Amino acid sequence: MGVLVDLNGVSKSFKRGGQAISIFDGLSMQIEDGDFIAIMGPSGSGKSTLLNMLGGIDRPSAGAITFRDERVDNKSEGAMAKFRARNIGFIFQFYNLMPTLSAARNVELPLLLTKLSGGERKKRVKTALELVQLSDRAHHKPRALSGGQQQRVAIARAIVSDPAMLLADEPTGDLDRKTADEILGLMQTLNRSLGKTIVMVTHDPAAARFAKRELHLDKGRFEERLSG
Amino acid sequence: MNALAQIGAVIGLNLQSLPQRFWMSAATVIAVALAVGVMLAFQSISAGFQATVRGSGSTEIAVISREGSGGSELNSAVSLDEMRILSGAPGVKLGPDGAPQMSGELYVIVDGRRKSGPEKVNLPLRGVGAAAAGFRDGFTITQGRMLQFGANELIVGEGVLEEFTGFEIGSVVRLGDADWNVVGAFTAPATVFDSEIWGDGAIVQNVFDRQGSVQTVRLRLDGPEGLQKLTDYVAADSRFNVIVETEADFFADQGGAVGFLAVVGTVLGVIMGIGSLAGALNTMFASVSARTREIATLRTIGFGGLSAFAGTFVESIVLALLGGLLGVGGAFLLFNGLTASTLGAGFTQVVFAFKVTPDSVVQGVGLALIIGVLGGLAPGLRAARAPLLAVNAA
Amino acid sequence: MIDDLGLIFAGAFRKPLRAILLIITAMIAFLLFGMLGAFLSTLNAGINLTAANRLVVANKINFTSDLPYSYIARVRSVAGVTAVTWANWFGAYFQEPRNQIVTFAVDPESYLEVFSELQIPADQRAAFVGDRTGLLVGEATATRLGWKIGDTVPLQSNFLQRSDGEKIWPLTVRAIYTLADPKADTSALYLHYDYLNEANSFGKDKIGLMYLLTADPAQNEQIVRAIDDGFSTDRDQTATTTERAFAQGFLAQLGNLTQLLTSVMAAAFASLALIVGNTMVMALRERTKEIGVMKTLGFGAGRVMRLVIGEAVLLVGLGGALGLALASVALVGLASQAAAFFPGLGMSNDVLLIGAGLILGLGALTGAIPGVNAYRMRIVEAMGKGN
Repeated sequence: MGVLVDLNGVSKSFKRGGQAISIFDGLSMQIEDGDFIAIMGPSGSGKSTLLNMLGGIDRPSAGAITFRDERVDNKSEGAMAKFRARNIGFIFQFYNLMPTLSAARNVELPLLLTKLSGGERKKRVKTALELVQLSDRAHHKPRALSGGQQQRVAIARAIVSDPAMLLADEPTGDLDRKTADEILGLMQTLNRSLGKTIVMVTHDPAAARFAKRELHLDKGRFEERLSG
Repeated sequence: MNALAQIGAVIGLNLQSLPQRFWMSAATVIAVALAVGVMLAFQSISAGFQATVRGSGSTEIAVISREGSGGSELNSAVSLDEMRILSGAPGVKLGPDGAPQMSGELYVIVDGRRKSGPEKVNLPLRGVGAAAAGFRDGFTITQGRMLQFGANELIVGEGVLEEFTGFEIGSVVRLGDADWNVVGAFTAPATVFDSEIWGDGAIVQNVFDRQGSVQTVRLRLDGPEGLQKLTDYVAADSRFNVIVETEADFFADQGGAVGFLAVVGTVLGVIMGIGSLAGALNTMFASVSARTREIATLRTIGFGGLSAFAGTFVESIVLALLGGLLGVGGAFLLFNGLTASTLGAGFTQVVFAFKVTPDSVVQGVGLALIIGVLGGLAPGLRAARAPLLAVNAA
Repeated sequence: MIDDLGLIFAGAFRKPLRAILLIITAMIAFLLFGMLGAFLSTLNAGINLTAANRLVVANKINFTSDLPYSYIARVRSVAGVTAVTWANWFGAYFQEPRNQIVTFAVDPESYLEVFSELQIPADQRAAFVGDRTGLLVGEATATRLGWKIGDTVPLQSNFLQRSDGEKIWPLTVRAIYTLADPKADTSALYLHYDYLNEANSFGKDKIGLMYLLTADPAQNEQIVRAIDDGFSTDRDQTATTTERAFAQGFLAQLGNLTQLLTSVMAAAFASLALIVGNTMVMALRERTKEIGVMKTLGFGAGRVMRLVIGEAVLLVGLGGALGLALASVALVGLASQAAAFFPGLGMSNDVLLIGAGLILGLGALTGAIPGVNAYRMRIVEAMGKGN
């Protein structure tokens, strides 16, 4: 298995009240193709910032991020958007579904960024919804779905365009234990049978156990523990 | 990249979310509609009045009026001597009887009352001869009968019957020291003549003490060169104290004061448009702010800034155009064809119908479109620049 | 209260751009109100200048038809009539027919007695009365055309002709009058009736309108009847009305201007109320939690409501004040342009006063719904609301 993402000497700092606050200073790591990493750490440790930089919606102050041997941190806004559309699937804590669109139309959104025909798009949406076992809810609006169902729609949206990497920020933060386990199980399946690389930020040790490995982020440094 | 589908999807998202901001959006639509409606109201008055006044003049008829009378028949006077010399003028078409086609007409103001209010208003009483009707295109008797010359009889224009009281058919009216029978109604469609009362010129002359003159003389020209021949003839004879012009020119200047209303309407429309623009901007900024996370999510998925801009921009234009159409539709329903009357150049009431013209519809929709474009630009840019990190907002 | 003002200000300008846009909306509405209101009050100014004991006698056919000279003496003899004068429309224009100036031929002595509000220096008055070709000029027209005492001005009439065939009526400016009310119209000119009557080529010994003073307005009705009945069997019958009714009737000839202008104002205010009201409702919704906090801290429901309404009044007030100020400035600019056909145009205290009332009313109205919402909002719900 090759290296999917390479972080080399990444620093991130921002200013608050005229004072520069550093989150990372010279952080380096590699993410292997097909890995499932859980990133844990206290709040303010920079978990989400790291995830945002991996997904290309935030940029490091210094250092380089390489995705499949391609520098991504210095791309233009437009190129970055194309990079995200092609390679990354996002799963959010609050699902971020479009409230006015049906589940199927929500899932279809990323496909609008491809050249696929309408028929082909429909087929893929159907497959994605089957994968998350929500075919029967395809025409419901998010409001008519439970939290777990909404998150499954969001997962279908994340995988529908077949990206190499899924990024999940507290994907079960808003769900009860049982539903959370179902979602995490689903992600595990995506990792094992479809080979999706997954990076998940969570503060929940029970969630982290579904990953192949756990990284603990504290004061801008990693400490690795093998997942139990 | 399927750019159009991308933009289309975001526009669809914006429009589908409108019901969530129903009152806010409705306020914008109505504000734009009111601006457009006010503009069209003034323009339709102006257009309706001008169409009536200008439609009254023919290019084949020459009007002779006294120099300096300022285009008002009331102020004009042409002596019977002048009239006699005119009967030998060149450039004038002859009738079947071999005599020049000529109509000397008196113009006196009498009182009527608006149906809508108690105040007296000025109505024109035109003293005519048998030739006068032939000088008005489409002249027809619509009720009763034509007046009988030599008798104290009146016929009234349809506009007078519609807007004023005091000259109903069958009634007897006392004017001067004579009683007059109103025997019929006539129309000369969409002209100022429709707002007139006609009586026998010779009797009007006697009753109103106007012996020796008429107000204006109309002559039918014998062709395109007729006017020049007639003008030369009058200019060469020092006994004349008159000006010669086509009837079309005579009426052309009379729409002026009311024509000013069109300008007022445009100014009011633009001023109110600025007010609605401020409202539209607020609505659109609110729309962007309510949908910040949604927009950021789309951008995170990979949608471009252009589609985020287009969604908001088009939403604004759709709202403004809805308002524009509402304003135009309201104008058609509420005032197109509405009749009213105001003082014309003859110092008498001119009955006219409000007229929403295609031109003003274009202007109204144009105003709405401008509001939509300006109201969508800045909020659209804000949407395009929505911070991506807003995806994580709770 | 001082603290509340600070809170109101902070709340209103929470989102500066939104506040500014609301102020602009209110400014536009009150700009229109100020302008249209000034036009309306100028239109009505002529009516308000009329005297309660002044009557107008016109020919029954229409006021443009004339009356015989002999009627003057007969009206003078009616019981209760203390003074009579008359005026003929002159249809004057200066240099070009489009430059029309309201001009009447009058009997100077009696006219200035009946219209005692015309203020003229004594020496000028004597000079005007004493010169048959003298002209009494309103201050507004004198200023507009730069005429001075002693100038000879060549007026022409658009319907009267001199018997000698001359078109120009040379007149000498002998007096300039003013009116006490600075907004009153002082554009009309007056020349001697005798001069007109003698030089005119036709219609000798005809008069246009008669004006008379009654001893007591209470007798007006009775005097009107006495005059009109007295002429009922004559060839020319009369229609006598109060000066006020005559002026109103004249305005009504133009059509329903008042209604037109009032409708536009209503449309502008409807727009304003919709936009400001909706925006205030929306702004408050964003602050649900904040209001919950304030109530938790012990702010009473009434006080919170007053704060919210205060924000609306503040925003509408700022915009309204700007709008009225802008209207005043614009009217000063317009007044000189419109002097010829709309004399005396300008902002009046009445309009400003009504404007201030409308600001309070509209501010309270637009703040009412969000204010009541704030009043009713329960702390638990407010704090529980998502964000």
